[in-house]
Amino acid sequence: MPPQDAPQPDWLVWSRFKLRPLAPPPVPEARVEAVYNDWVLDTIAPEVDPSFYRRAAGIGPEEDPVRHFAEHGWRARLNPNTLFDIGFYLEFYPDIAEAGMNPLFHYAYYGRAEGRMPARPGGQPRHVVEQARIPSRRPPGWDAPEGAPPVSEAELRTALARACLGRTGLVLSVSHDCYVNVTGGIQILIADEQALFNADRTAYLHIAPAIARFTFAPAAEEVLLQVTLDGSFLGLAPESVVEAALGAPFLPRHRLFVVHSVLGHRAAALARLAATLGPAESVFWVHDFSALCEGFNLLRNDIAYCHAPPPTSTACRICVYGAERQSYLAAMHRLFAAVGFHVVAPSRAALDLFLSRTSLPMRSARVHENLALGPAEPLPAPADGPPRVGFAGFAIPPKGWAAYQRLLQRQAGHDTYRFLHFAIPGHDVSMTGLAKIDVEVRPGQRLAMVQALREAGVDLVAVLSPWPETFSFVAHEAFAAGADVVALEDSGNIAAAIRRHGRGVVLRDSDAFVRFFEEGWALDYARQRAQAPVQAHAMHLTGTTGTLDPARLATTPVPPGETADPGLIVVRPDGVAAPRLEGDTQRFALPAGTTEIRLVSRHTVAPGDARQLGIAVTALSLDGTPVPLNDPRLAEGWHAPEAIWRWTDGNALLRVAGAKLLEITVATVAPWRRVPLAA
Amino acid sequence: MPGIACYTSFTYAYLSRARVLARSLRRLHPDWSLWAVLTDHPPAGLPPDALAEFDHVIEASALGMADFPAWLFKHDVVEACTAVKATMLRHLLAQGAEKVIYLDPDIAAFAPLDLLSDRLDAASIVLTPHQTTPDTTEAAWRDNEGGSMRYGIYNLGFLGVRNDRTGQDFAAWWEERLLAACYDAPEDGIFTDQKYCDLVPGLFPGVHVERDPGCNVASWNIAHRPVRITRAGEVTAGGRPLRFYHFTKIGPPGTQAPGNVMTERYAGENFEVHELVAWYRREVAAATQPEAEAHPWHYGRWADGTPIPRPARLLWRARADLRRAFPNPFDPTGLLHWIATQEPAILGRDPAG
Repeated sequence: MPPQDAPQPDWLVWSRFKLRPLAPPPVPEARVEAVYNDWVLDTIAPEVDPSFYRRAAGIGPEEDPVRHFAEHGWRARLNPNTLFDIGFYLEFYPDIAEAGMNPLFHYAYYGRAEGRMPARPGGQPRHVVEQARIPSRRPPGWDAPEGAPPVSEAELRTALARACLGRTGLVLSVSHDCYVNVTGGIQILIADEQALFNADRTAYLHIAPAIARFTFAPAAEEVLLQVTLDGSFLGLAPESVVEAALGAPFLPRHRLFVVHSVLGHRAAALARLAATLGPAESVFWVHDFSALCEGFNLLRNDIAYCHAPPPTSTACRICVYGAERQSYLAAMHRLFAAVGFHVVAPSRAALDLFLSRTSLPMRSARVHENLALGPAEPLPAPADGPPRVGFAGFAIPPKGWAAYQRLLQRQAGHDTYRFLHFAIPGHDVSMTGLAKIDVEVRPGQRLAMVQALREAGVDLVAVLSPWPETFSFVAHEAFAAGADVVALEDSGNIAAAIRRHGRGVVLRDSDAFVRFFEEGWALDYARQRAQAPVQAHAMHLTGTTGTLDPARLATTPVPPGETADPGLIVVRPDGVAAPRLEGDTQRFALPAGTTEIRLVSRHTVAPGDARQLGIAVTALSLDGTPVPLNDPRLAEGWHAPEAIWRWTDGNALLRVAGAKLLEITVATVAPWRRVPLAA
Repeated sequence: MPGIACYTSFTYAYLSRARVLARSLRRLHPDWSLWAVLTDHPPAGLPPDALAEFDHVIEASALGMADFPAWLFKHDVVEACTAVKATMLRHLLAQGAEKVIYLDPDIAAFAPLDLLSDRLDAASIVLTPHQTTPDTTEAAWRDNEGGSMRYGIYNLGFLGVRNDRTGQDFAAWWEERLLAACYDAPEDGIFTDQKYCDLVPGLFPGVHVERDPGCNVASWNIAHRPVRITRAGEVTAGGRPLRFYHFTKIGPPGTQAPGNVMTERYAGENFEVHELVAWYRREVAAATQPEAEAHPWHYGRWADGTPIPRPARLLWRARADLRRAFPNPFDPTGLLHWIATQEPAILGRDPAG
């Protein structure tokens, strides 16, 4: 045991135990001897990952992967492992291609010593960045079942009438896909929500777009919706049909409007549906951060957590999600302003982040956790042997697979840990040293992951999402199974849950994750864990709209949030201009031919002033020529001029008649509200 | 024309990149006057607003060089676009610009360049070296420091000049050299407009060598200037705000374009660099005018459309007799006819044919 004051490395952000590195067991002798008595085969044998290569080549256990690679594989450009890229090597080093030499042999025998590169530098992150696309320019994907029937207004009215017979309430629920046809955390949560409402004499109508998108649908295209009523998929109907059916006079009086995701919908159409429904309350769930940015997981260019900087930042400028973020947020703002949502987040971490970055108007904001862990129950001590390190779910970058794969690659040939991948059948990553365990969580088998983790005796589950997850079922499943969790610092509720439950390790970044295992800190963690009582938990599924207390919704105020930044932007017909600050003066470049613009800002409250206030403008100039504050070019959204300034209402029209440079001086009268005046 | 004039030099094939540069400058410096000097003729069908990002557009042929066609014929496209830079600088100084900044068309600005324009309050000339940190491996030394020793210490993708006596003297000296020999000839100690400027700190007073790591970041120095993106959304290089990045020879992803290869080699795992490059590719694609992209360089062909090979230009440089005999070398009945009959190998033709 290290002494209590033993310094812990700065990359070890939080740990259940005070740790010190333990020496890993010696690396076993090279796993392949010079058994081929062939110069080429014996040279490449240590480089071929048998498990990876067998899968790539589609060969069975009867074939020798090294021999197969040497005789067929390299010519077919089948890579021998996850680190060596034959296509790259031959293209980048044409001398090898011209010589007709086995490129892996060349690399192993000459190339490595010559400093040649085995694959394009930058690896998976570079590939992810190059693949990132602006959301509206990604091809939309058809998401509805083949042959889904159309639903007419009359059919939907009839179905609603039947469903509402004897019921006292109706929920209109919105998300990005049809929860009865897709398996996933949010989909299961919506199914729970529906069941709870149905049990409470409330009908549950759910709509999802038939075409999946990563942003709002284009404003001019009516969205075809997948319509599900009380868990039965009815078919497809355009927004106008759903809107007309919701106008029926027989619907129950108590109505709720619940938004789980807006992606694929049109903001204006959702606002109209809400207006037609006339809900007592409307709820917007922060399951992700799509209310802050089209990049719902705040991964800039799909690669790194961005911390949701201002939309005018350079980071947003170079990000695929920044290109349209301002117009996207403007549409989101109109939706929030029209509906008047109560915002609900599944964790404090998610709500705090959301509120610190938004200026959307809302009626209240609160935390409602998706599930709770029951009292601990002791489990038998872990089995002997190397610590078992699991990865649960899809092996994809947003779940942190790259870091886990890097550890696997570096641990190849070692016997320090056992690596296990828990995922749905058919989702296999073949790497030597990685065992796959099939698990499918779905309604009726909700605890499949918990059971699988428990049966495998997993010590540590790597939940390596590089973005602030709003809840993370996987982390809670790991706790329930008695395992501890390894996560990264910026993982939102994952890191928060580790600290709250005292179950795991929080590391600074993916480099720290690799060090934690490579340097033997994880061995000490596992040793101490084996000596502490291992505890499992029951999982109680709680947090859906169906378990919110409607009486509380209307009473909790929005947490205060103030800022010295008026958040002023110039909205043009063709885009948005960012300011350049010089003291109190904000300068905007305007493209040639701009005739009018809107000055959009946060709101403020001045003492004793009941008006809706945006910014107090003390000076304005166009192309260096001052514009008087009573000039008719200050057209709409301006309060009357006062002695030294003129207030906007937060969205004011200015006619600029082709000017290219706008300068505005703004007085700070009171702090601006991050959350503008509530509706 | 008081204030700051900023110019770039290109042909229409580089229009998309130049537009990205101009847009990036416009949003940061709306008060600068932006100039484009084009050593080319506009392609047919080019929309009238294709150069709207610039305040002023001038064709190199209008800059008043003596015997322009005969002089220009000595240059390939890169040599030509660099050879006109000094004459354009003098033009802007003569117009009364207080400070002149040159930026290559394949640069984009990310943060205000006031640091550089403010240097010209005290200095007359500002230069940015390719390298400001020693390389540590032989491979990197050969690529980067070795490149500087062959092609020039200072990257002439950036130049700042104040309109004072020293600035004017420098511009006149530089123009004289470039009109005489702005060639890609490292074997002669010459590399276009760039290598001459190795002499500038010795020849002129008031030279400031800008070592800020956020200036002129490119593949040749990226290994020492890691790019990071802060929580507030600021992009930094070497711990300072990234002011401008030089996207030299960047091509489509996955290709062996020289800029891709060098960037990948020296950026390595610094994925933020790849984010910048991916952004640049998107911006260039969005700024592309198809008419310009497909436009062959006007001065790359004889008037009858025959492409001018580099050996023909070298011949023209070397032979004063030919220059006397054919005043307009682009006339196919003159120089081209002579080469076709006397030196057909230059055109890749069989002497017997």
